[in-house]
Amino acid sequence: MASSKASRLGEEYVWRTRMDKVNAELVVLTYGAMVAQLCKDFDSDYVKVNQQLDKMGYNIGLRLIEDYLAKSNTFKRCSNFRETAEMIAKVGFKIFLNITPTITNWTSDGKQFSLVFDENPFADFVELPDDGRAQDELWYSNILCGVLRGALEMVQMQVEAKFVSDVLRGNDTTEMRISLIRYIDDELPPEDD
Amino acid sequence: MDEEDERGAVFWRLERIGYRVGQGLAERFSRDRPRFNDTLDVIKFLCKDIWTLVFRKQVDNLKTNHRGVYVLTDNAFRPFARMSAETSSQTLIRAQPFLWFPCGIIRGALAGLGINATVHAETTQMPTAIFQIKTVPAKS
Amino acid sequence: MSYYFAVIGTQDNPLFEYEFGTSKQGGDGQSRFTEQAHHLNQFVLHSSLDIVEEVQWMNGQLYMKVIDKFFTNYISCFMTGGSVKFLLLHQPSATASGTASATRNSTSVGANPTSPQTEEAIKNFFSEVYENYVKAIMSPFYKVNMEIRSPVFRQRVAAAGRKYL
Repeated sequence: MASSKASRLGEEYVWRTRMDKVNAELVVLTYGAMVAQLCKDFDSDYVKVNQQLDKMGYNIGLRLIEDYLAKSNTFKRCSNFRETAEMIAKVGFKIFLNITPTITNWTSDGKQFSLVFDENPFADFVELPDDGRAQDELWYSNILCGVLRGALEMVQMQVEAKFVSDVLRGNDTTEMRISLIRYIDDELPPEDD
Repeated sequence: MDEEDERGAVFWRLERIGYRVGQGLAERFSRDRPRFNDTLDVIKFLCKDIWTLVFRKQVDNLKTNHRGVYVLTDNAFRPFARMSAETSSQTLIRAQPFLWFPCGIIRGALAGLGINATVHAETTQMPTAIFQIKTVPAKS
Repeated sequence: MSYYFAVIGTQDNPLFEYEFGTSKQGGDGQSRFTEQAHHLNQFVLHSSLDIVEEVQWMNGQLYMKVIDKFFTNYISCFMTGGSVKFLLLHQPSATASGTASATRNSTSVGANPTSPQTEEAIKNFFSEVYENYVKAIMSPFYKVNMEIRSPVFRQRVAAAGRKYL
């Protein structure tokens, strides 16, 4: 139920608005040039690069959620985390990146799932540096984890999001793992960082 | 770091990232067309093709002194489309940084097509943006 | 038929090189350059760069066909929008030696280096390499005029060689 509704919402939006499309190469190049610049800034300390990307994504997510709520026409709160997952994959990703990652690998308590990306508009043409470390340490698309973390925090969900595999590293799939830590009851303003 | 330094640092970073993007775009999108005849040909490609790719419209006006200076005017510069601040002078100052990444793109695209240049941008009236390109003679 | 392919940067600096043999007419894809030729090839290719400088203004095409000849070595050239040059040295197998492979080669694509068929085959090869070259340089960690070390690019050049030459 929730699943088909989410798909419909995503499709509807794309159809209704003729979505402002940004040139794909421009996206790849811009994101890529930024990541490459960070690698240079941090002297190829990829752990720091991952952190920085996550942080940038977080700051984007905090604000992107408004845009999402406005564009998606969803006025209703998700009734559970499974529904949240559906909305992220089929509405959120559809609206902003025109992709629909697959939801999979739920834990039995319904608090953890994976998003598997068959396509990743940030990663076309990308080959990681062949310094023998990037393949093991850099999560190239890590900004996406931060975006989800920031966006969900604004709707009272504290989550942890991290990549567990990436085709750029030679893995078979690109998979992000999302875990619900807790629902935030008291409405604290988000930390400024 | 004082504010001036910080602005400078931001400028260089955005400009450099734009430069890389411009290089990539130039090589990618010059692929499906015949070779360029001269600098003006390249500048036109920039005003039409590259501009459309990045900003979804063409440059509105191109002027040149025929001695290596080209002035591109975009009367409705996309990044400025939804900008406003309390006073117009404040808007102009705060809009400035949004010109830096495009400056880099222009310089990078030209470099990718074999033209070294310096690029300056300014806006005196939103949402118009003016880019001045000065080509540096090749040292062949 | 043996081939030596090189990508030359805007400062006439080599960015990539790859040597292979024909895969047409039962060819095994291995080059048959002599020991001496290995060293000579680089030199021959680079010496043709001056000619590229002249020829590039003669027509508006990216593909300039055969631009130079040095004994039995023919050089075909292609220039990208960013003024990076693709050079292909092709050397029909020596007919005098009369080896089995040489006789087979007489009917192969490369036997007559300036025939329309050969020109077309090389054009296709260059186009496919160009397509992949653009992808390789789009990778954010690649810097313009840097040696292309991407194993993916090498594989794709090899594949294009097998397919067309």
